[in-house]
Amino acid sequence: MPLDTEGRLEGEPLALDQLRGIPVFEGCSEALLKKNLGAVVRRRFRPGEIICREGEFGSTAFYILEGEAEVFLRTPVAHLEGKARVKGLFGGITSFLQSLVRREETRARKGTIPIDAPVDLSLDRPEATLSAGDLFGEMTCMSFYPRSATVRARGEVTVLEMLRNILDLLKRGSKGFKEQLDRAYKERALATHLKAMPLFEGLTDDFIDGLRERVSLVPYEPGKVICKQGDHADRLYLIRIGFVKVSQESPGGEVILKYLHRGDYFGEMGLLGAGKRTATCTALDHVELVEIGQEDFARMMAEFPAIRKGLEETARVHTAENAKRLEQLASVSVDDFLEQGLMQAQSLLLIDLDRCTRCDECVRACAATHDGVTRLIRDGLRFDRYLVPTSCRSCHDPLCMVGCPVGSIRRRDSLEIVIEDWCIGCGLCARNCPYGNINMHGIGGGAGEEGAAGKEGQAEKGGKPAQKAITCDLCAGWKEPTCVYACPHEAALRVDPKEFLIRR
Amino acid sequence: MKSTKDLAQRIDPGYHRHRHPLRRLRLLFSVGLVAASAAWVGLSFGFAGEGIYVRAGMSRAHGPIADACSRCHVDAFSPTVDAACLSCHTVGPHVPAGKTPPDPECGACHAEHKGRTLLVEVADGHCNACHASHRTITTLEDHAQFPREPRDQHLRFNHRAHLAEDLLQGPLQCGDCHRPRPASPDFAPVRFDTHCARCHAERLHPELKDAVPHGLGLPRLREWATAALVRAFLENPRLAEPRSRPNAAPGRSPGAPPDWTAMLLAKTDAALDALLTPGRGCLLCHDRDAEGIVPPQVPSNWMPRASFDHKTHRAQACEGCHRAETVADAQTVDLPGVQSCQACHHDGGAPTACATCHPYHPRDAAAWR
Amino acid sequence: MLLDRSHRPWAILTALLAGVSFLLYAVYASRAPDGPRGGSAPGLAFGIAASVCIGFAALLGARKRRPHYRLGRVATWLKGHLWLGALSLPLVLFHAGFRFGGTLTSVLMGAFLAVYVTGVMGLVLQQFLPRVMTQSLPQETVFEQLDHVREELLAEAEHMVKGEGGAVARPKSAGRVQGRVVESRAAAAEAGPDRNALSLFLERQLRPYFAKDGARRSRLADASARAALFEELRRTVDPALHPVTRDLEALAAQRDQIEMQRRLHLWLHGWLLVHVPLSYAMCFLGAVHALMALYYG
Repeated sequence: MPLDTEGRLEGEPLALDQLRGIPVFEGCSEALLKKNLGAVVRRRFRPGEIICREGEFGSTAFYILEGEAEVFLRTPVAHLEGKARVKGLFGGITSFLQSLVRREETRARKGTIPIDAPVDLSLDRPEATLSAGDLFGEMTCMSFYPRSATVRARGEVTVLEMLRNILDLLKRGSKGFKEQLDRAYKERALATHLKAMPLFEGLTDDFIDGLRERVSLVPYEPGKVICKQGDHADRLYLIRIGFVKVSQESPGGEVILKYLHRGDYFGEMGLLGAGKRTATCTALDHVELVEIGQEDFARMMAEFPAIRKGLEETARVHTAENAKRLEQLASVSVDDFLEQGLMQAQSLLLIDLDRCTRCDECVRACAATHDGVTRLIRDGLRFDRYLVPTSCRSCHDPLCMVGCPVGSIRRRDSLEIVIEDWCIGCGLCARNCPYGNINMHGIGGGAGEEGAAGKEGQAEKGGKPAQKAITCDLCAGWKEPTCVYACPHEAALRVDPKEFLIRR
Repeated sequence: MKSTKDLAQRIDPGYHRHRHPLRRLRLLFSVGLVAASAAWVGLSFGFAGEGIYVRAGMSRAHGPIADACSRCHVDAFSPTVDAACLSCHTVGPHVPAGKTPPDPECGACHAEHKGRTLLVEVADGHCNACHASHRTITTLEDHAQFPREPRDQHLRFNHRAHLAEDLLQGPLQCGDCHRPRPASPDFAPVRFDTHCARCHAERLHPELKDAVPHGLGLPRLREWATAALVRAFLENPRLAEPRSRPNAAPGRSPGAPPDWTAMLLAKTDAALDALLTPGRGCLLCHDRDAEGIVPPQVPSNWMPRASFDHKTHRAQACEGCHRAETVADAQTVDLPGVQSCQACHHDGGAPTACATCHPYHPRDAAAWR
Repeated sequence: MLLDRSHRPWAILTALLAGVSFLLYAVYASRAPDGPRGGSAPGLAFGIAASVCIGFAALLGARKRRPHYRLGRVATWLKGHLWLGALSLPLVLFHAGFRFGGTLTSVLMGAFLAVYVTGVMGLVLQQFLPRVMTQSLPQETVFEQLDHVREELLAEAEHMVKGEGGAVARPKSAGRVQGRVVESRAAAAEAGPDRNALSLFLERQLRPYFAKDGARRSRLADASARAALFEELRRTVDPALHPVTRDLEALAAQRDQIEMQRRLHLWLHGWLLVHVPLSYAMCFLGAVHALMALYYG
């Protein structure tokens, strides 16, 4: 875990001079570095020590200064059938998440497992080596995804562990850093990346070598449109980081065709067909794409007829599928989906309004669970026939955590966001939450709030009425939250919105 | 357009702690309704006689004691005991002596508090509980035929002849002989003196007034005949003067004084012989064996296992069931077939329950074998 | 509770149990000399089975009082409530031998049938009313807070009329909530247009309409009359204020939805006013009946 109990990064803090001494920080604004000193630490690991574990939640990226580390999957790839079930408190949620990870692994069965590092792991022997100058944990840092693999120090290893603000600083400010990353990717990952896709298996090393210098790595901000339906198609995209939404215009509004993630490619249909984009592709979070130009694509098609045939075949299947989807799918208003921030949610409380009798049992159940204070308010916007009530969504990008002066709002080892006992009741998180899911509650009169365990004095000192922020804790420790458990009509659900709303 | 935050924050997060009027109303109704029920039950308990608990009213016969719970429920709120029933009702045993009787409580068959019912009407199922072989009889239609095989009653009576139009003394009706017996379901027995003697009285001698008494038995009949002859000779010596005198008997000297004793014995013998001539006199109806006249065996009840009450059937003509005018011999049993019962006793008609004919508590248990 | 495919095993089980009970009843009723009776052994068994079903169904109320106990999902309890409750009807009839019996049992049977009928009615209502609400009440809010929301809407209207911007920044009316976000509306006032007509409209039309029982009397409650009134308003006010009138019209429409939500909610929950109290009474009378019947033998 990168955060210690006080909410600070564990490890050796670095002074400004020390930071400036590290080559990658060259060219970064000194003023900005100074402001963010707390967001980066140096850590040393002895041989065999674990740097990060797969499945863990985190918010940091690692940059190797010295030494070598091995990256591997502890969960054997063979255990796809749910044998490797995580037990314990968070077993339910964790196994749910792991099942997602596993599903992605299954898709990549043909060759490699894409991980959050400049290398990919091969399926039969999921091990690789990271060395000085490598950055890993980027997706965890940028979008708070769970760690994708375990990294263990091979010899003595020194790393910089950084939060997102430092990573941003490096990517934008540092001169060499971006190039270094891109180069590392092109040299080490592009080939495996391409070959990981069954279609591109037949590419020769020579061809990939030629491609290396010609592709570009382009970052996209969340919500940015990568290509628009009907535009001229001029390149093929490979996703290095993040999620991409593929959607089409239809008379009923926008229809989502699918979500693509790390390791997927898109844009080939436009290139093969009439030269026009057949769908709109949008970045859903921090996305980084590998872009292969039209000429290179044409060359590939010419040189490798087998690939061309395969692509055409898949394109045909996709077109048919999409047409069917467009026909079947009741148009899901994606504007609403994005506008309401549902994409951000990792766990979303939904109430099926066609089943809900508005009996308010969920609210009473929530209050009963949390000492008579409800953390759920049965009002909010709707999405399709679902009400999205006011209850924590466990955002990918938990804005609420930004700026907490005592670091009491955080994730522990799991999905849910908890507000620790040492909350000082400043109300910042409640203001920051865009969805109204955090409320401030007075704790006067002995109402046994979660602070009952006793942090004395926080009330009296300021002379203000003592209050604390509260938010839904997903009833962590139970298989399902009480609101869902206590809904008599099976109307309340806690779901992963991407899984749930899109696949419907 | 309001954001989800705007929408949520207009709601008081503590609202669920106050009971909404709708829920308060529900609570009020609940408490009120339970209280009302409790009050109702309590009040009925105190005031309303047999109260609200019993299923329905009392049977017709028990109507007069409907309000006197303790007549039957000797101990308050406990089931009735048989002793309470037997304090009014006397019933015979169900089986003849020597057999172990079943001992159900009265209430097992006679269920009270079922409205204005007749307690004596007991459903067949109660019988079938023990008489398992009859379980297949679910209706009277399945009832076995009555025993009608011919049997010798040692009394020859020709119903056809007696019912004939050209009877010497004018035609007879069934009721001329079969008279109801008061306070009994049976008929009074047909007696020679009252029913037969008018036509069938025998005399020893046409000029003797005294009719031969019926039912004496041969030895006493002989005594009676001798005495009757003596009396007759004394009253009318001419009768004693036979056409052939007594001393004209062989082995006697003529003119000798008549041997009265021998004459009397001879006369007696001759008279009895005449009476006992087959097909005449006594033997017109009776049989004779070595011991004398065979006593007739006419059962008073032709259906010993059931009880048939002719009185309740008096609306029916005799001919409706019996075919007496066709029966010329004495062996034929003129019991009607079960079909003639079924003509009236069927579903929707007269009762068909077992106990209609086979009472559980028979007057004469011995008859049940 | 929506009857969906997940109810199939329950339905099958219930039908099966009802069928088996019926067969048992048919055998027992045809053999009982005096016909089926609640006091006979099979009749008593039916009575006990029925009271177990009813007892479980009644436990739903207790379960809902402790929603956070992990005693099985409340939805499962409700399914049990529905189907065991459904099963109780044949069992009760078999127990009673299709007769009402004495006064107490007649009242008890009446209460039971009323509870049963209202329950079925509630279930039927739950099949379609939620959907109706979903479709016709896009602005639906928490029922218990309807009055509160109505007041908030009025306050919002006042702000609009005064030109102070859209959403309301109220001082902590709820007592414990802080950190509210105030979204200012672009239609904020620039000293210009005359707002007297708006204020007049607010006092004459909107305020009475937003009062507690206002929906019954006000002309605004009728959609076409409302449109006409606002059209009239728009003719009298400065065109610059037309966006405000449209916002006000939207608020008025929302006020209408509050009444509609109240009505629909009462439909959806009104049957409980009969169902729940009667079931309490039924349980009480049932207990009395059982006690007396067992005592008398």
